[in-house]
Amino acid sequence: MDEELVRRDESARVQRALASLKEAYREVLVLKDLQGLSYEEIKAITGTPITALKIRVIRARGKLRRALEEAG
Amino acid sequence: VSPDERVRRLVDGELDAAAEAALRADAERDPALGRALADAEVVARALESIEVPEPPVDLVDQAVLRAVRHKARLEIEMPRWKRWLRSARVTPLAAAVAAAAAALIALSVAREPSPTAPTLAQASPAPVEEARVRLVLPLEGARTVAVAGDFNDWRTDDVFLEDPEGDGVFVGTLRLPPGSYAYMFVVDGERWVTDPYAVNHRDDGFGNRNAVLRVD
Repeated sequence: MDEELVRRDESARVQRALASLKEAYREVLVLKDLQGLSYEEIKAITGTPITALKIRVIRARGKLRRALEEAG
Repeated sequence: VSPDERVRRLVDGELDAAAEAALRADAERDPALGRALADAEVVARALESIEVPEPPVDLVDQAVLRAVRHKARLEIEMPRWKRWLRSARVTPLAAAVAAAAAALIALSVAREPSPTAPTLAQASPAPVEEARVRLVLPLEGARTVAVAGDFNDWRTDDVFLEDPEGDGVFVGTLRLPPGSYAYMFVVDGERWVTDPYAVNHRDDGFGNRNAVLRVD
């Protein structure tokens, strides 16, 4: 199997799982884990307090893991 | 502190070396913590496969574009969780989970066609060592903004920033190996513009200043 094809397919699979999450979870995952923003920066963008953001990130990562399992 | 919160602190780079060592030692003894750690590695490895969408309007619409504006400057990013993943000691449990994930991926590949979603980054497939560099040029009224530089032999028809909102904020991402690169924006195919957010510059010998990008 072509390595690039495998990488693209895995990327598509993860993006589908990500897209299945509620927007609030998708948003923090993209901003935190893909865009690499700090919690301070995400707070400035979303207006959500940092403590709430950290809790949301934990939940979002858990939901993404479960979505990946279901999409597997 | 819950196992999930301890793992979040690790993933987000909030633990020093001693705290990380303590967490890993605890994870050997505490099944809940061990599972949380293994789960985090599964998610991190999955996320690492994603080309950061550019523009990512299909994922979070306005929020990410606001983020781009918020950080409207050149930057070289590597999220902390990526650093954590690369430095992570792979535990036997994590290795088993990763192997299972790889098997699932193989099944997925066998079943489904690979979609294509062209992005700037995919113009040249990037090895892991390359850094992601975001370029932003707010320029209302511009129709096209190309990026020409050392990295593409100063071609003006190779890499283009995009204006996803149609509001004159052009954004794009390059993937570059370590090095120093002079570059300019080319507006509407004819007007050469120095990146207003560039930190470093170099005279081009013709009276203009090229922006210079340094990738470590």
